[in-house]
Amino acid sequence: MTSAADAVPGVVAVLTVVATGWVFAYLRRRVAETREAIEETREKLKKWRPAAGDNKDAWNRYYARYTTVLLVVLASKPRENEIVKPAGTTFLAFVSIIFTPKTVKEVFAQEVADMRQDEIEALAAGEPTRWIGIRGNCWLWISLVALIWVRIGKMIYTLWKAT
Amino acid sequence: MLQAPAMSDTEDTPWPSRKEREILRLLMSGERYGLQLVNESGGRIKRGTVYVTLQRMQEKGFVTSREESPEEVRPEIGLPRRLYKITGAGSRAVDAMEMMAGRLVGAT
Repeated sequence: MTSAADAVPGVVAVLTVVATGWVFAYLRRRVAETREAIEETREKLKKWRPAAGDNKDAWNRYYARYTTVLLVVLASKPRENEIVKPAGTTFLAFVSIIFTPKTVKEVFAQEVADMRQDEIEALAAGEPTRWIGIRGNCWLWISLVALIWVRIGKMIYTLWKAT
Repeated sequence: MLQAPAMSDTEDTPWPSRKEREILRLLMSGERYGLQLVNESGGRIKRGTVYVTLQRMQEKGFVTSREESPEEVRPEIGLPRRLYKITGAGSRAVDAMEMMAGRLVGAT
């Protein structure tokens, strides 16, 4: 008769194969995206490309521009199959681990709703939303810092009372 | 000599802070959510602290809150807002404050 402990190496082997497959698929996707970005950058910088007989400085300037544009293209390119989450989703998931559902619902969820409302209003007005996101996240972290001390205090009190 | 107003039914009511008084004054004219309070206060109430203050006021019994019904939730926001309403204790605190302010003005 086989016990649960005997099945562990098999489960680990299966998980390793699955994880390796996922990593390879991810790397293949990233390599394809990078190749695409290199082509895009080459096209963009065709007019800056020095002639064959030009001096070293001209080539250095060209490669510096090439690298900068390539980095910008790679950073701003939306990743393939990426699902864009609504603003504040990750933050809410994070605070749900630390704080009680009541605090999350009454404080953090309300602040995330404010941030989303600001973003919607900015989008409707045709304004950039980047700063609104940064400002909204600042307010979220200020609230977190303000409340975390209360949470830590309560946890210490509970532990002290229990012992 | 100036005396505190007679508040036989508000003796157990805690005294609101400056920020809490501002919120109570705004809530006197009806139900509101946090961002509305911030916008209407003209910068006196800050975004980073309004919800923490409202939570504390709820514990003190100055305000009550309810969550928006699913029909009221704006789909583009996707999160229900919490609407705050002043309680009897809250309006008694505002009345007491106004009475106290009136006596102070009268005394000077």
